[in-house]
Amino acid sequence: MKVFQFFFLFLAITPIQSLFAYDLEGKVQIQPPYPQAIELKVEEKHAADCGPVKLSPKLRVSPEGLVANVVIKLEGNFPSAKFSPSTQNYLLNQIHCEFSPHVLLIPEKSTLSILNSEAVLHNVRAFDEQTKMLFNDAMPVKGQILRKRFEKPGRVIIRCGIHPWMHAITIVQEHPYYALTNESGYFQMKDIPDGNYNLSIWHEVLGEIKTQIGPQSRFLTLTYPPFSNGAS
Amino acid sequence: MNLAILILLLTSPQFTAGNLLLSMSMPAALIPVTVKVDFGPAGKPSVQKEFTIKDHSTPKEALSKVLPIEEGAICCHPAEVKAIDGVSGDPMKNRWWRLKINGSEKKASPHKSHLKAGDVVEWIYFEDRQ
Repeated sequence: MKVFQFFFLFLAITPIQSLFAYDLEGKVQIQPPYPQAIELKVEEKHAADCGPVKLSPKLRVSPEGLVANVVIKLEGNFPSAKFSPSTQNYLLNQIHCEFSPHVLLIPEKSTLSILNSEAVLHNVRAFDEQTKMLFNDAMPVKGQILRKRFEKPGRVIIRCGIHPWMHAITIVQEHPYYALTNESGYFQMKDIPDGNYNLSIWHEVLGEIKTQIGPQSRFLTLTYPPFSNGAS
Repeated sequence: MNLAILILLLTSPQFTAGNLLLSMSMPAALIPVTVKVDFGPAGKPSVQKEFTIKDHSTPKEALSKVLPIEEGAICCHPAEVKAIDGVSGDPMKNRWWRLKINGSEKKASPHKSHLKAGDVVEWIYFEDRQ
């Protein structure tokens, strides 16, 4: 009897979505040969501020062939899904003449703080997927912060108009079911509503691949074909 | 007496208004220019055309005589050229349109520069590999 009481109490306090939800973990890899991040020679005029060489942030692959900064997205409409209440301050930092993090996920209608952490003039320009310029602001002062609200979901490319290697990608999410691979190439997506879905896997250099998942999926290994372009 | 009549005619409002009308109906001076478009990494064949255009036209006006263009802010100003013949600046790939007038980028503006006879206007699509 006590067991039943406990069960009903559990039902009462557990949101239905969580009760019939599942978690997904995985890794994204690329077939060998594994591409190396390209070293970019910095123009002489910027070298004093930024150093003589920068490592391209576009394609970072671990020695084991696992890929960082891959965006994993569950496809579909989830009108009742809520972003977890968060006081998280979404921050894009400019430090050592690089944007950090290189790829960032933020919920739609949220505000991104863009910080200049160094005494180097940066010029932050943002473009949507239709290449429309969203804003263009100079940031000359160390400690300066820009706050920008992103209303519409989609990919936003952010560039510095002064340092051509500096760019970041902000993914504005329409629902919570997104994940990003970490530096080791692993990702985690929690509380996926029960059901089968298409999964989109996108990387700025490697492009998009798709697969399907269902409640039986617990750990996915997603594999890109060998990269042959050489422009990482 | 004849001289007085001539002076009166030359200074009369009808005469000056007539002159004005005459000048308004005259076509603006045309100048020869060359427009070159290099599509670079977009992979389309380059285009080069010599033709005449109104004196003081802008590089953007000259370009629009050769290929369809799309205006829009891709760098700094909404009057810029965003796309030429469907090839748009691409912030993700770091591909942009660059303008040169007589081989120089200095002070070359799509909508502010004014062309003179013999100018060569180059539009170059390039990818900044950084």
